[in-house]
Amino acid sequence: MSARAAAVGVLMRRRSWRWVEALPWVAAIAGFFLLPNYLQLGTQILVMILFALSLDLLLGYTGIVTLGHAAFFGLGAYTAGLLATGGWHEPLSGLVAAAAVAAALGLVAGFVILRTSGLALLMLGMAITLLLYEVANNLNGLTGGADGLSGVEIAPLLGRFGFDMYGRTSYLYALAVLFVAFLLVRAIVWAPFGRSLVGIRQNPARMQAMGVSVFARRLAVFVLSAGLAGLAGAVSAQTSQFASLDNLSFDLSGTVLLMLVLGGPGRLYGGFIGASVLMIAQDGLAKENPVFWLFWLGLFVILLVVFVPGGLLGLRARLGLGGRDG
Amino acid sequence: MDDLVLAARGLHRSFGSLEVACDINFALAAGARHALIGPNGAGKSTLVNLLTGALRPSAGSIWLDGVDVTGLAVHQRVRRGLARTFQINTLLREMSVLEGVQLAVLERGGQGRALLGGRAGQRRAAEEGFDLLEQLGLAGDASAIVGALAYGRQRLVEVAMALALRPRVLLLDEPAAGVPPADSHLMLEVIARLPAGIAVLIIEHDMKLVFRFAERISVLVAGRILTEGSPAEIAADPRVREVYLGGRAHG
Repeated sequence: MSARAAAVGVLMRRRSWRWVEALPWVAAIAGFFLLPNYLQLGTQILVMILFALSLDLLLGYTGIVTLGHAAFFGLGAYTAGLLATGGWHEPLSGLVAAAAVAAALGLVAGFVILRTSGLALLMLGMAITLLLYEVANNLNGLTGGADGLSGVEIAPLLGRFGFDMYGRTSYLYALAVLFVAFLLVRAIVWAPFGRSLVGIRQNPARMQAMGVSVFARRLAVFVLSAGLAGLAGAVSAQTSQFASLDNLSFDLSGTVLLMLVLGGPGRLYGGFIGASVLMIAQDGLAKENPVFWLFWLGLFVILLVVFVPGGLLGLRARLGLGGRDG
Repeated sequence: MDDLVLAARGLHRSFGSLEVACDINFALAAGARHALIGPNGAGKSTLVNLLTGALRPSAGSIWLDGVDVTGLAVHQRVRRGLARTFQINTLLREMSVLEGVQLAVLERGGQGRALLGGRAGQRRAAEEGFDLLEQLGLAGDASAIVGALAYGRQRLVEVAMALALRPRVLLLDEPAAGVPPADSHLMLEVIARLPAGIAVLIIEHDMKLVFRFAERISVLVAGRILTEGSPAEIAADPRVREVYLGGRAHG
């Protein structure tokens, strides 16, 4: 093989699937059969993985640090919830509508906040979340205000599978949405567009010198990411049949960021690991002693961020167990 | 006029009362080898920023291939054929050399916007990128991570990325800056072998490099073009000797 074919091959093979990528899906399906009493927690984890995946496009791939991503999650949740309480119970069209509304907000918000960077961008993202939070809080009649939006009734999926109290349909529904979204995101990050995002993260000036409108690319990925966050919010509202102000909180923005950083940003699977570890640990340990659990979590995150900047997946790569940077 | 690919006409730029560029005129024909020299603080960086679009002139205009590009943004000028290297390496440090050049090829073809797929285009772009690296003597580093290369090699990657855009005009901003003397011949060879059709503007301190390659030299002093001429004329000009080659140290 010529040196050229070898070098080109190295570059092109990175797009290919590897067998370890089947692991999270095998684990998720195994969980469905082996842990029937934990399907509700499992559904929440799947939702947070999807949410973290949307943030990974921004933070991990493009290098946009935001603490306002709950705005899009919450808007998606309320859109899906309000559609259902308003009489539109079909779940899949509700998902599409919620993602579209969140993406539309992403377009408007991104147009403003992406003109800034660093601290200003962080502040503007938070401001938009606060704005939405107060709107949802004040539109009492529509959103239920601080009590949350209850009575979200969802029709059986595809007209056949009802959202039962055991959460079986919910779990598989969330898993299917996550899988489709993941296929989309994975294709995007390895396509030329996704590679240019990584270029922007590494050096915007260089991409500009290649003739790239950095602003346009950032805006495009922002809209995409907002839509996916809205999708996650919609799945959350449909499966829990509830939307609340928590879905629009600063706390949620921080939690999803923590999950992604914990798992490892820019690697697609960071959210899978971060959300699972955090939520399972929380479920197990927080019941015993909520205060002390947070203490150990805080200590763990500090150590991780200081010593392993790439998160848990970065740790794996450091130990020479493979792992691939985006 | 028609064969001019880059022209500056009456460029002015001031920051408050400080005039950093004043009535700057020059023009490059296709295939030109033009150098711009001047002592520290002469306004070379300002001029680079004016040409690339990072700065807007207070007055005057910039023309690319007969089109007024004064109002265009940096990336739009690149798309019209103005490529550059940076005074300080500005690279995609975590990527391999080949991937960086591949991205440049893809962007040249407008394929960087492809949200999905693009596998065949990526392969073609990588192959073209590898051929380019081979021409520049960088094929052995194709799979190396850019940030792990020696600085002098990274300078060559800058040139490779610019050439991958197949520019009409190539602006080399102090290409020899920071390159250890032992490696500087590599850059000299690469510059000597640049495609003949590209107009090259070299902004440089290194007089050896300038006199070796430039067919025309403009001397910039205190924001003004002091004189323009052939290397022999510039070398013989007593004013140039006084302000640049003479008393003041450079580098």
